[in-house]
Amino acid sequence: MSSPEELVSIKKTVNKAQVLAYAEASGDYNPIHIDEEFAGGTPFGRTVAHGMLILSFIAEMMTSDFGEQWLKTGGLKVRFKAPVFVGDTVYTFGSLDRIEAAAGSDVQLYSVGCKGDDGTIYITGKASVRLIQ
Amino acid sequence: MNIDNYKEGMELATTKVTFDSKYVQAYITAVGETNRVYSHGLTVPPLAVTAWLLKSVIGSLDLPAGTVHSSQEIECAGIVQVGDTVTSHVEVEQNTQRSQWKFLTLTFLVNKNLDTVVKGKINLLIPVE
Repeated sequence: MSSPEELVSIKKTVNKAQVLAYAEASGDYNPIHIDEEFAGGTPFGRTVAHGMLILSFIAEMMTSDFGEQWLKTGGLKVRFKAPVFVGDTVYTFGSLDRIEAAAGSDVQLYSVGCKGDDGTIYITGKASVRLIQ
Repeated sequence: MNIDNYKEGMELATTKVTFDSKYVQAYITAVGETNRVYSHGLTVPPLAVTAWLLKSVIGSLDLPAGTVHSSQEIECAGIVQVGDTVTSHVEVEQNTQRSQWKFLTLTFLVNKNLDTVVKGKINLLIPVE
């Protein structure tokens, strides 16, 4: 398995149907995601997409680059920095920080995240995946 | 139970699920996942496992509307397939309050048989009512 310096970015535009579908699939019906009236009274001012929905775009990027190795050995440690609203376009990013020696197999460490058209960072953090020996 | 009663070190009730293809397909469709490893419909994405855990945890905690998911850690240690039964083990790591927010940190393990397949940490910001 190679250790790409830059991971292939994924672009997604979040729509209301997707947020509702995620609520239904995950069972997360927190009104901050689906109830405009409720969300209007929060500091966000309107409904926000589930953080785990946006995080799934990073997981998709990692799966795309590392396949089953990601499913078996992947790791993510992220912060949700800013809300993603319906209509926002999200771009994933990932760049190799270093490869760390570890027992059994080396570990690739990446800086990863999601950002918007205007450069807003929605999610930032680290991802790891073990190299196949 | 009131959120204040969740003390550090407290273990939440274990929950169990057998993943079925309907759940996995609904998740994959919702997130728009396109990778080939999921095309046969048998593999459960690690974040779908985590989403189930969040649902079972948040459901049991009776958190107020407006709760915000502030950070997330996961480590994958094995592949979960449709038909696999997994159990969750969740512990309260931190429950503190600053200003108008409570900070709740939970650590979790998801086990298949005796093996951990996903583990991690959830940080939630809970508005003080």
